[in-house]
Order: sequence, then structure tokens, then C-alpha cells
Amino acid sequence: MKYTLLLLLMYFAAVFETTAVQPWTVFDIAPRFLLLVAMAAVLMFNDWRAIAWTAVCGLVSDCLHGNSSPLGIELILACCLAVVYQQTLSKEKEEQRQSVLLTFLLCVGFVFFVNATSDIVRGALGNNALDIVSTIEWSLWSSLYSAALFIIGVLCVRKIKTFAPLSRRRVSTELTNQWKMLT
Amino acid sequence: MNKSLKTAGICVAVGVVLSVSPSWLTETLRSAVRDSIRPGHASLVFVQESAKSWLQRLGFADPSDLKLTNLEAELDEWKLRYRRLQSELIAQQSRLKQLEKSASNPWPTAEKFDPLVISRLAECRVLGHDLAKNWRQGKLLNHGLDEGLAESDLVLKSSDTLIDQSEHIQLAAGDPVYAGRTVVGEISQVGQWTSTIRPVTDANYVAFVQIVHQANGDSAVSAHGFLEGTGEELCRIKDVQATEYVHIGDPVYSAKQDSLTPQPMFYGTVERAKLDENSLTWDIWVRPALQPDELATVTVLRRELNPLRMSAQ
Repeated sequence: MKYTLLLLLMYFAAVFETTAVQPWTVFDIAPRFLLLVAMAAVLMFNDWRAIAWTAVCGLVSDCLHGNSSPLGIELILACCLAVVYQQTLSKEKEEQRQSVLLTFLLCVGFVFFVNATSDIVRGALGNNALDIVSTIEWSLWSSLYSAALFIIGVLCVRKIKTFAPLSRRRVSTELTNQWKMLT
Repeated sequence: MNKSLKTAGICVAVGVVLSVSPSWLTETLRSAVRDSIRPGHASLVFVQESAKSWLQRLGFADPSDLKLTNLEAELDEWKLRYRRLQSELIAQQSRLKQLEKSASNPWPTAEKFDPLVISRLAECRVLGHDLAKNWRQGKLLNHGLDEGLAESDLVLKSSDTLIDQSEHIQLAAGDPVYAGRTVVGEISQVGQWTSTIRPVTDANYVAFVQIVHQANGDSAVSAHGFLEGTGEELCRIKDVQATEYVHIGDPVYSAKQDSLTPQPMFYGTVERAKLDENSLTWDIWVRPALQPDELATVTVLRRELNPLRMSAQ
């Protein structure tokens, strides 16, 4: 179920990132949906699967951005950061891991680091004139916007999860052995 | 955790291999990923279009669409204005040429006399399809032949567009028919009550025309030729030399200018132009600007003897 969900999210993220008409773009700043999916995988799994999903998202993002730049830049960056996050989060308590503020900061850091570094590396490898300040500025705004969207998504999922157990709480009509013994 | 590190190591290695892999491999991978998300793009566009049409149906028109409609209307208006100015420019150019020729006249300015033939415009209503059908079937005029009210057989048998004026205002076959500054055709049959219009697309229609070329905001006559109707929706221009410049979209104007029609009148625009190998002339097809049955009224240019001259005799 989780794999299907992640696969669907990744597909839609790829479509949304490359579509010509992007109504979600604000002041020319577009969110990085694929990196958000990678971030979701990091939070969803505590083991190697998070790294694998992050790598796939990074590779797809590499394929969609840049026509002549080499592949694998975002893949490597996303994998490295995912390992660091896993190492850090494993030491935290479960309550702290679910903190909205922490999730927001992690998301900002993830999107910002991958986005800015990959742009700078691509520019350097392609010998293109690159304005580092504006790249960093754009990446920062993009990461903030992406993280805000991610937090909205996380909150929505948590809200849905709180409703889900209610439907499962059905009153059992069968008498248990314990009750039979008591009566 | 070890497994995570191992996976990360493998992924990083894959990334490094990909970054140094040959371009054909990276291009193949890129193409595969981009092709796979194409159906998603198509679905997204479909969803966007559907949402837009639903919003329009509910009365929430997109302001950009409204703006586009207004801009299109404005563009049409400017096009009309441009065509009128272009027509005037050509007239002024030909007048200038005429003046240059007559500038060296050594005699004092001649006294002006009334012209023998004058032109007058007559506004006529176009009979719609149903009205024309009833008229041809005699449903509108059934007083009988004895009273001399019958319409001419030539008019009744013709399938051309009918107008409600005829010989009583001295219309004659061959009189040009206009709608504003656009040529619609010519009068083909004149009856007792009505007349028929031969459209420019009629196979028997011929006119001398000029093709005007626009470049860098300037207009100049690029070629002359004979416009002929083909019986279909497009007209054809013949006898345009292969050495002339002809472009698709060039406007076509009447070339026969005299004292009665001082300004060139618009026919339409060049739709297709073909120059076969070893051919000496162009094959040009023109889309007429107007068809008679699209109009409610037309104007007919009549030529008649000047009554002042007649009375002076």
C-alpha cells in the first residue's frame, strides 16, 4: 500500500514539476514535488527502503532537469542527506520525530540542500555563468514553499488517520469465553 | 542501519557511474522517463480544460479570456482601418504618378467642364434564401402576366443571389457590386423588379487586379493579373509573371482605376501561391473577403449620363 502510494505520488510529482501551466507557482517560485516525495519516504521508513526511494526520486529529478548535464547529481545528494537524516532521527524519541516544527525544518533543509547544491554543481560542470546568490535565494524560497505544502499534506494525513480508527471500532456482538466464564 | 548505509553506498555508486556514463545512455534514460510522464501531462491538460469549460458554463469566465476577446475585436477593427488606409495609399500613389506625368504640361490650367458620365451608388437589399425562393416561385407576385407584373425569366431561372432593385433605377449587367470597400461581384441579370449578383467566385467573373505586398510597414503593388472565378470557394489569379513577388496573405485590390472608381477596391487575400518549375506565371488562389449571401445590403455602382450635360444639349 505504501509502495503504491509513493509510486503514485512520485509520478504525479514528476508530472506537476514539468507541466507547462503551473497554477501553483507563486512569484515565479515553484515547489519541488519530487524532493517532497523523497522527504516523505525518509519519514515513512526507518530502514534501507527510505534510501532506495530517495535515490529513485533523485534519479527521476535528474532526468527531468537539465538536458545536457550528467545524471546522478540529485541522486547522490538526496541519498547522502537521507542517510544523515536517518542517523539523526534514530536518536530522537518518537514524539519529537512527529513534531511539526522539526518536520518543517528537515523538509526546508532537504529541499534547499539538494536544490541549491545540484544547481551549483550543474552550473559548474556545464561551465555556465551562474549567479550563486540568486540561486541560493531562489532555492531558499522554493524550499520554504515546498516545506509549507509538505506540512499541509502531513497535517491532512494525520487528520485522516484520527478518523480512520473510529470506523474500525465496531461493537463486538459475540460473547467472549471470559465473559461466559464470569456469568 | 548497516543495511541503510549499504544501500546508500550502492545508490551513490550508481549515481557516480551515471554521472560518467556515455551520453547515449543518459539520453535514453532521460527519454524513457520523459515519455513515461507524457500520459500524465495529457491527463492534466484535459482536467485543466474541463475545469475551465465548467467554470465558464457556471459563469466564472476567466478574465484573461475576456481580455483576449476584447483584443481580438480590437485587432479586427485595426485590420479594417489598416485596409482602408492601404487602399487610400494606393490611390494616392497612383494619383501622384498621374500628377508627375501631367506636371510638365506647358499650357495654362484647362477649364473644367461637367463630365459626360457620372457614377452613383445605389443601396440594395439582398433577398434572403427563403424570400428569394418564394419570389422565384411566384408566391410574392401573383397578379398575372396581363398586368405586366411578371419578372424576367432570366432572373427567375438563375440561382444567383437576388437584390431588390432592378432596371427602374437603371441597373445594368456588369455594374460592380460592393459591400463597403470590398468587391462582392457584379450584376449579372436585371429583371423588372429584381436583379441577380454574379459573385467573384462565379466561373464567368473576370477582373483586372493588383496584389499588394506589405513589408516593414510599407505597402507596394507587387503584381498585376486577371482574377477569375472558379465556381468554387476560391478565385484564381492568372498572368502574374514568375519574376513578381507574391506572398501568402497579400491583399488583392482592383487594378482598374478611372474617374468613376478612383480608389482600388478590396477582393480578398492570397490563400495559395504556386510556381511550377519552368513555368512563366504564378498559380495564385485568392479567398474572397465576402460572399453575397452573407450580406443584408450591398451597393451597386451605376454609371449614367450626366443630366447637366443632357440638359445643356
